[in-house]
Amino acid sequence: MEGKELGLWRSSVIGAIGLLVFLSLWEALVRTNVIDPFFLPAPTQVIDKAIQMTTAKDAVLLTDIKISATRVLTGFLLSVLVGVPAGLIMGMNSVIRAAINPIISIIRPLPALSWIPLSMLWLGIDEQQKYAIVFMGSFASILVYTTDATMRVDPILRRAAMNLGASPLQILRYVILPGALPDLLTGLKVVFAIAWTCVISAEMVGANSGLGFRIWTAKEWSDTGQVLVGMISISVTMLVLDILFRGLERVLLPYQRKTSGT
Amino acid sequence: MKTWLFRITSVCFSIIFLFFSISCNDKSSSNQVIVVGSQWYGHIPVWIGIEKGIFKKYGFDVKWQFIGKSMDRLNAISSGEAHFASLGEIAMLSAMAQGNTRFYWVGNQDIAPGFEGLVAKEGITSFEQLKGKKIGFPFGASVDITCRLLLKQHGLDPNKDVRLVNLEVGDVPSVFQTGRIDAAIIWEPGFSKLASIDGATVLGMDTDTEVYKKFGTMTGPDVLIINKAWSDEDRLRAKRFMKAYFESLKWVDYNSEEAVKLIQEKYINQDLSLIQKNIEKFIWHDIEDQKRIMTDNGIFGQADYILRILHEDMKVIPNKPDFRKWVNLDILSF
Repeated sequence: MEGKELGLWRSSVIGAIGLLVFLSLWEALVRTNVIDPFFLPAPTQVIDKAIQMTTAKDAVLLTDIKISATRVLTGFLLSVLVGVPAGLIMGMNSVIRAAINPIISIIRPLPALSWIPLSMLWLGIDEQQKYAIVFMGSFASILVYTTDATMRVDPILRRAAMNLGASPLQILRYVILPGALPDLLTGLKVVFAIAWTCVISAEMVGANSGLGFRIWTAKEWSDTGQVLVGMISISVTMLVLDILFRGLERVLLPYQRKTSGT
Repeated sequence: MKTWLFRITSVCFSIIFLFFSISCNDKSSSNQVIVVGSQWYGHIPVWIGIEKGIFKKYGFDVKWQFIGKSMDRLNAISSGEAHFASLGEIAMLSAMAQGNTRFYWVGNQDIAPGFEGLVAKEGITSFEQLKGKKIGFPFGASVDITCRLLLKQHGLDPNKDVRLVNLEVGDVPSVFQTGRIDAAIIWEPGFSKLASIDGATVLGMDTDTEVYKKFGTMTGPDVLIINKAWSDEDRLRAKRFMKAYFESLKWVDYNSEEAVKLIQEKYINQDLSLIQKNIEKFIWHDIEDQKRIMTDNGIFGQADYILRILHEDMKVIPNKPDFRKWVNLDILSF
């Protein structure tokens, strides 16, 4: 039994049963007052709240999801646009890497939250400030992932391409990029999740829409049900986007699909 | 397989046991009281109680912990980690509406109208000019209601005619100063900072609202709450604590000048003369006053009015709770 792979259907059924047991237990603990519903509302109460937030006259949930997703995608894509080319250059050139690494080492540990005061002064409270928070929270990580992925490409392949007379651009196009892409995509998936945590921080202040804003405002009105709806919405949105990301990965890396057999 | 399962289970139980052992050992002594609050003047009685040794005289070791927002303070009280706090009435009423029964409402220690106001940047001198403009303030605080009431009184719809922006309390002055928002509303000490900015105009104060005109209070007056479990565990201790608190409040009332000097550096980062000037406007309610104030003719009428606004106008709470069920005046030794 140990180590034996379950089929997709079986693992889905077991997963669904696990989830059902978890939700039933949660519901029962709240219904029997073992858990105070003020601290943790029952799943049915959370579902009611979600329906109310989706279907009521002033329904906001879907709009908030759309707004937050737009902010994440914009900030993240900007990071990719800047971080990936810069990472490729750093991975290929040791001088540039040595010059930029100390700066990246300073920026990378900074949490997105710490950028809020400065970003508000520099950019105000409009959309560009939210994009900037996501950008600052994800850029350095993308840069590091790309640099590492580039450096992990077998140097023999690069040398062989050079000996065969390939130009630096051709080496990049036919050797580095295909070689670095699997690691790079894995890194981007990790950073994409980080980008979501950034947007929630960005929407804490100076916002009047988005899932982060909804969670923080619900806290101010002591509405734990709405807080949970906001949190679950982040997870579900992230899950959907992750599926899309995997689809993209399968398109970009058909050779990996074949070798892994999945 | 079985050995593997046994190991995992043992590790889990060990972690749970360790967690509970730490929790039990961490329980503070019965006379240690955690009081939470912000830099607002309404907390002065607690600070003086600590600094003048009044709590100590009654056998309490009071620890002060800064928590800026009313709802966060209320959550700390609800969790049982803090025992006593002063906070804004709006946070308390919202928590009641959501069914939080872990605290008692034990008093209203002051009335301090005229400490929060709506300030517009240079070039905006009337409410009419606010149309289409951005107004920043912390959502869910007293200023949320003050702002909406002021706008409505001047014929503006808060949800359509202006753009309301949620800001952290501490960020309001700096964001306003950069001109990223057109107006802001906040209480002291932030309000003085806003009003002193070149070209800024104070468009309205909490004293201009219908709440002040009807009840003579600010929109979200200070209230005192105490953790229910801690209070029920030893009612005499709770009574003794409240007695100490109100003794401290009385001292502040009679010695405001000295009180401000004692607490200025340690608790409020504001100019001494400004605190002196502001504190003169405070009306302190001592323990005897509570009998008169905690009634339908006192603050309860105002609370009913605020609940109507929160529930019917703003639709931010699901019901209008019977807040009288949370009131506990038995622990006040009249």
